[in-house]
Amino acid sequence: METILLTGNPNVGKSAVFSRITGTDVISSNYPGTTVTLTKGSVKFAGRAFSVVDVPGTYCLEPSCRAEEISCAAINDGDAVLYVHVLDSTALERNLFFALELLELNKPVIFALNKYDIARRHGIAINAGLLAEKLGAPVVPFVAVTGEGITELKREIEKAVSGAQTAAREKIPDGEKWNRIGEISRAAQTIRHKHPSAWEELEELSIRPATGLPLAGLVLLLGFAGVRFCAEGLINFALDPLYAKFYLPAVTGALSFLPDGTIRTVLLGAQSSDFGLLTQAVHIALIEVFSYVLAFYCFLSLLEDTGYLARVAVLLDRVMHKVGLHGIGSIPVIMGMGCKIPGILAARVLETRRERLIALALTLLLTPCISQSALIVGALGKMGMRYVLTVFAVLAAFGLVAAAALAKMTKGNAAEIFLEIPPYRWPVWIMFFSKLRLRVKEYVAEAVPMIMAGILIISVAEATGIVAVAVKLFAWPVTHILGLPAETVPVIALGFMRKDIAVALLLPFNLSGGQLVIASVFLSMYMPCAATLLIMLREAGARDTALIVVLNLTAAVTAGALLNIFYTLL
Amino acid sequence: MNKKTIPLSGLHSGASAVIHSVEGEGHVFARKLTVLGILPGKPVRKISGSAGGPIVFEIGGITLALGRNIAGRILVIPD
Repeated sequence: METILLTGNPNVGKSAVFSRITGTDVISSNYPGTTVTLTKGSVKFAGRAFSVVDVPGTYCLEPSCRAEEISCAAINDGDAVLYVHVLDSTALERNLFFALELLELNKPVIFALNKYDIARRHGIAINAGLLAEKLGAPVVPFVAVTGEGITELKREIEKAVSGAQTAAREKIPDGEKWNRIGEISRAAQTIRHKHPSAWEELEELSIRPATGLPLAGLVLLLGFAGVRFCAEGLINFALDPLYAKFYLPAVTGALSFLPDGTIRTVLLGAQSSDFGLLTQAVHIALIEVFSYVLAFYCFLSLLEDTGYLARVAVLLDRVMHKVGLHGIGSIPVIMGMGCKIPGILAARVLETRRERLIALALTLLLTPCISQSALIVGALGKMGMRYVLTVFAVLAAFGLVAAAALAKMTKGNAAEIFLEIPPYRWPVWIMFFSKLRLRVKEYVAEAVPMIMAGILIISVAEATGIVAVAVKLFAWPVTHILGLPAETVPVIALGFMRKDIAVALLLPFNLSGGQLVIASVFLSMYMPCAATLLIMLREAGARDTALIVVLNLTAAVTAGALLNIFYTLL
Repeated sequence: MNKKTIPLSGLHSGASAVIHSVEGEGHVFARKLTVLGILPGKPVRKISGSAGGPIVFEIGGITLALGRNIAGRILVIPD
């Protein structure tokens, strides 16, 4: 299939243009580096099928960092029949360097002048006709978020792919490119200067440490309180009543023909302490965890789309240097608060193996994933918020100590931050919900079957006597080091499949608050879950994965043992 | 070094300056700055950067955050 490449600087809205052209949901945010892999979609133009590839943003054809390597390789590959190059109208000049370089490849190029509406509101007027003339390629004003200009863009693509090859273009030496850029923008762009808006004032206040750090603390505090409030509200006032009034009677009624026995127990759960696949498992997966996943990703998407997350990365730069990372290292960690898998993928943008290793360790240890957090809050919240806070504080402390130790053990200095900070923007709701839908869909598609499988496995293991063997094998460390009953061994082992379900399965043991704290901390740290482990093997290789697993296990046993001593003395 | 030039990291927050030169070696580094338009003669305005944190500044309508060491290699003449 012929290929059309979608290129541009970071954060110009390529992913949004991509979803307009191909009609596919993609994750786009308001900070550079959201797209770390090539996203492909297929579309028909002029009766032929084309593969449209969304290339992660880069500043030029030569990679200056790891994140740009994939992009530059794809662009220089020479296979593409057409480049659709996205320009940010609000910062035309800084986009033109790459545009000029791309033209020198002597391939057909169409420029999409994205964010045309925002530019106009900011008093920037760009004459697309004149710009096209200066660049020697078609220029289409475009508003990816509303789709304004899509008909025109598609028409230009059809024209370009049905012939009309571009003439050889002159090469401009690097040193002269900026003179040329000045010339082009003077001709095609007029800027009416305006007073700095309230947004711009806020932009500066939120990045200066003196005002920015307290603000960040407030935002995160309110954010997490908001996540809890929304999730609990959704559970208590909407989903729980629906479950109790409609779902449960319907499912037990429909299966009332089942005789008492193993199948009935597995599906419906015999007593309240059992986990029926269609009852408690559904409740955990689609009510308790689902609500937190939804609320957390709303909050995270807001942070991303407004451009605030990039500022958090800059504000945390100093702190991150203490563990051998720079500010960007905080992005995988924050993503990992939702799910460790996107967190691990986000660590790709870091330059060296050492930085990625530290970032992975920190991402895994610093907080539980949102699924596990939801059940920790649910289970321990009832016994007192101090237990919940203890879990999170102990995890954070061990995460930081482990990362700092790893930084000490491995030689090297942290690379320095080099980040373009996007302007603040209101989220574009259609993109916001498209991203939210994609993330929630991923959760439902991946987590729900895993939760079901986990419950099934534990039922089978119990029936076949595997549980009894496991209990015997690990009874000593679990009872003596962690202070937990030996019967929890299979549940802790199940944590390898799903940590959320493991926390839920601990509840029937009637553990004390302290024991639940120990179990939650241990479950969170001792191993990454199976899905995460697989992704990590792919991303970091066997050696680094093994190193991280050993680190995790050491941290988990140490934390568990110390907590056990603490609660015993209490 | 010209008497009036100071590293970007030494510029007061809120102050404006013009880039004088960029010190140091490295093709990739030099090219990255060129690509972003961080070149002699360009005006910059420092937004923040104190106490060991990164340097945040505005150049050509964009805001950049640079590590202190990198920013220390960009010499500017304050306005």
